Amino acid sequence: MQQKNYSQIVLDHYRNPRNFGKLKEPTHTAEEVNPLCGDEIKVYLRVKNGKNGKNGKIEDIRYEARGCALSIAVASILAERIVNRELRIEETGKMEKSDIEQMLGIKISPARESCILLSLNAINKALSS
Amino acid sequence: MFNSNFPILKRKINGRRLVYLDNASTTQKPQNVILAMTDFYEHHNANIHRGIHTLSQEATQMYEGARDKVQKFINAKYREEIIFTSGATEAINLVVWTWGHENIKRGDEILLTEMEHHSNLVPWQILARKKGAKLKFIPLNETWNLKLETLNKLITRRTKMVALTHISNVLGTINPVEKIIKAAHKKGAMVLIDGAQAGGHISVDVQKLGADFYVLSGHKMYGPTGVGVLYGRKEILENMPPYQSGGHMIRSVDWQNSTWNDLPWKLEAGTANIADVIGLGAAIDFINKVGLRAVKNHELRIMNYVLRELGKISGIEIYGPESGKDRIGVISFNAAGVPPHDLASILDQRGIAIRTGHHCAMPLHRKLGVESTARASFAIYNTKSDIDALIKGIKYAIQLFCS
Repeated sequence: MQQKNYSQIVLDHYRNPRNFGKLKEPTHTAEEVNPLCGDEIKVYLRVKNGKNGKNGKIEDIRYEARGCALSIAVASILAERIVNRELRIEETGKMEKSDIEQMLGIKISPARESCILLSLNAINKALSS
Repeated sequence: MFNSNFPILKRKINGRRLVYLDNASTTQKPQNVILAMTDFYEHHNANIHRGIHTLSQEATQMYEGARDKVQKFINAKYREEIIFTSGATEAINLVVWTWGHENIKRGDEILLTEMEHHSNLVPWQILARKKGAKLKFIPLNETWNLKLETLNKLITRRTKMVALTHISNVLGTINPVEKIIKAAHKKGAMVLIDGAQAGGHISVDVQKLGADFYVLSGHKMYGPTGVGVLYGRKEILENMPPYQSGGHMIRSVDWQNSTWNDLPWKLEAGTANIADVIGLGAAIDFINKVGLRAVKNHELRIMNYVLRELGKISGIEIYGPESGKDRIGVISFNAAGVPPHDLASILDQRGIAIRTGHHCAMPLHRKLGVESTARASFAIYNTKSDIDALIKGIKYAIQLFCS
């Protein structure tokens, strides 16, 4: 995975994160931090129908994040897929490192795993809140 | 210098020559350290002390020989002032939970600095909370040195302990510990110096410094992990209760009571980390062979070169003293537009090892106003071409992220 940690996809989403910001009247929110590097994310979700995120549909998502390129890029890609209805509630709970690697088009070293999982964890935390 | 002594430097990382700039975390080990430990296990392995058989006597001699090497290395007056621990962290905890537990009372003050590593902060926090004592901190000035003018006000009659780092693991600042020790002693306070970043970089003379306690980390000075040193003045150590108890630290044991062994063994319970202590002894041999003066001059040259080259890149913020004279060993920085973790990944792809994060100094990073920094740190084997590789890598990362 030489020189491939920073694909154009990562850099593009890092420079221009999609759906960044706050959501008016979210139904679910959650924050996650990575104490090792100080990366932070807060996600806002609007979920329709279904309690506890179950059997519901994510109508909209926004997030505020600070951190490294990998964590921001993953947040942006996930948010974009959710907004485009390409990613459903049932799917986010089952996503793993390898799914995100596929989305990014690169392999991630174990040391950076927490960076790419931060936003996914925040989304799942919000959905189960 | 001396690169051929370090087998690991022959390694390729991601197809590139290894450029190892994470020495403040742990240094690489010279061949003689690796051989000393292998030799012990292959030819002399036995438990030490009280053994009548040949191997045990050899092992004891080698282990206690390492103690003599440490004594000379930091110029301690007595060999029994050298206590082997599992590392600098345990050495500080030993002082906190023996001396501190006995001597710190409600209302007492413990004075630290704003640049302490968590290992010289958290143990004191726990002790202070338990005892109802107060922690105070010597602040930093705008050049990232300690504000010495605050000392007189900060050290009071209530100050029982002043504990500070000799060299900052983030800023590289060399603290004027001799001055601070004098000021503390004037008010009757004890002083502990955390020498984790000083050992193997600058010469340390505990008698000249007048330190009551001095702490070393073995693996940050070319030795193995799992071994550190607590130096303590003999009369203080003699009055301290044991830290851990069990085998080896006793003189005689009854069903109900026990009496303690002499120093240094009173404070070394259980079977010692024999091979690693012998490895530390070999590391000191290596440092002595190179010569601390040569080490310091080499690192000063490297530091000046880094400062100059990094300073040429726009958007680089350097944390720590501006002059190479006031700092040694480490340089923390951030490149505008490139998060430190991404910088580290990009450098790693080019075979360059640096560290990023808060470097176990979260309160200091809050003071710096950043969550994390990138840190390059140096040792005897680093060369100008290592620095050239680092600078080239940083420029590449900036171009990748900011174009």
